[in-house]
Amino acid sequence: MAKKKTYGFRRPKLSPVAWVVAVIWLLVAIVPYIFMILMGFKGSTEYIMSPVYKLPQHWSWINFNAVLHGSYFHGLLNSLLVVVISMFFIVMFAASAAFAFARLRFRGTAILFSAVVAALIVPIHTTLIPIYLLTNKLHVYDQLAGLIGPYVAFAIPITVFILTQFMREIPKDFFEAAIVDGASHARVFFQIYFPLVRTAVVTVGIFNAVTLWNEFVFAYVLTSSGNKRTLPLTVFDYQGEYSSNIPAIMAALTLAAIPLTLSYLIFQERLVNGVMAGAIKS
Amino acid sequence: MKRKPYDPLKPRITTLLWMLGPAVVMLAVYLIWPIFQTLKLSLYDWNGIDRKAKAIGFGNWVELFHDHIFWLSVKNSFILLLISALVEIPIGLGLAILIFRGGKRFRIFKFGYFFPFLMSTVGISILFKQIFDTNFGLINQVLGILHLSGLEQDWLGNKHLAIYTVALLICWQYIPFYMLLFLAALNGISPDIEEAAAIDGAASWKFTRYIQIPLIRGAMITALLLIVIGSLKYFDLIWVLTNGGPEFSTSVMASYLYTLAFKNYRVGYASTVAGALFFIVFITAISIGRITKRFREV
Repeated sequence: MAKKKTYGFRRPKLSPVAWVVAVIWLLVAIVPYIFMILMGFKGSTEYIMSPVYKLPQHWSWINFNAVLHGSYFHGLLNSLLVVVISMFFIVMFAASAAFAFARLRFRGTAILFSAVVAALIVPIHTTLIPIYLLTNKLHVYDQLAGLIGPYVAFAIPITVFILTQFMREIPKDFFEAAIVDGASHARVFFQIYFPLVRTAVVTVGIFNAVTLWNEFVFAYVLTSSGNKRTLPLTVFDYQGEYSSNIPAIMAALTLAAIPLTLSYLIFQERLVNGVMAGAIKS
Repeated sequence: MKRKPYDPLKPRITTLLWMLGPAVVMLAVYLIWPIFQTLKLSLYDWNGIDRKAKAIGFGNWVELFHDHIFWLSVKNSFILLLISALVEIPIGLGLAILIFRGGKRFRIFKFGYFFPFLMSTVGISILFKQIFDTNFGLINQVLGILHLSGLEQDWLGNKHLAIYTVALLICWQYIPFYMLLFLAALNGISPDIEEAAAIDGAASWKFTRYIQIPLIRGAMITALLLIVIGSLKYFDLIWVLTNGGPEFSTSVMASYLYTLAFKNYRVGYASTVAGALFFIVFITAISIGRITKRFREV
């Protein structure tokens, strides 16, 4: 790709004020994060006895060890499992629906599509009580399987919306030519449209994965026992249990932040674009 | 009767069913049906345990109208909305322009500004509960060594202050998001426009004021919409940070309905609050859509 030309406005002489402001906000953004990591190394009495802004006197891994030998990996595994399974269904259900909305003509296309888009603004909490009752009725309360239904459903509107827009950008001729050549609609979807929008699938996939990875309210309401909790809930339970041992809580928070932090260090822009996907396409 | 000619472009009904069916069924079961169920439950007095719920007509809705905690929760949502819009958009825009101008030199800042997004909302809330702590919190202790003890506060325990502390944290969490949104919009402006302005010798502040800002109006409207809808739906952060307290001073609709349903076992009345939340979000979204449509088109 040719290098993008830039003009004067991207590199005016930066005033010192610009640097100062940039540095101040950098501190505002990362100091809490660094504070969290450092405090995990303190002892629980040290945290209370000496000023919190001081570095740990004796760096100790004891808190991290305790968290790792506790419920951490269980929570991590539960989260991975729920996110991966949900993602599979989200992509399959949403991509096929998006293809139908983008290319198939049927009665009520427009109305159904606007209904799906309108579903974007339904507040989760309005549905919370009925979904809780339904989960009990289906005998999936306190099971990871119970989370997948709501997770898939609430991800569908945004995913369908974004993928439909991308599929509409693929020339219609592709579709018509393939059909005239005798391909079925299913084949056109699987072999032409789906592969052509895979970048968009990845982007919106990252968005969904991050959202579900951090999801709180459904996991909070639909599970209760420790070995069924996802990672955010593991941390939440941990702070309830060890409320007097703040460094232990900080260690748990740090470990819980590792998966996303690592993804950011590896994927950077791609992760950022994924997180922003919901906002930019709308 | 004459059969319609075969049109290969027209999908078979079975094709439509398997392509649209799963998505539609999921939405129907987990989004649409629950809304009606919530509205139905709002007409009952039920503790969530008894086999039979008592139908009481619009009794819950009448109670809602006179419930000052509910109205306090609505007011809090709008306080959060107002502060978020007034703080996040200007600071986000300012930082986006800063990063844009800094170009490559400011890459490291752009990298660092994203850090709040690497923690879950639950994680952020647990962390800041400690940072805002009256005695062992980072903020009060740092104020102490700066000889500003007068500014030390019971950030989350003071019922007049707590909602603003919550708002501050929300801004901290979301400013990077809006910065990136605006930055993407700024980078989306065609380089030709930039070139033309440069050739005409526009001063850089004029370029920002008269070209960049007007051209990313769409992104600002998107930001406003996201803030409005997001503010009305707040739960995680507030629930973990304050439980809606002290004395409901940080309660929002979602946290209030959670307390009612799962702590006080007033499932019917909680559903009324949930229904009200739905109507408020829906009406707000539609009116904002209407209002901003005009601005987008100009």
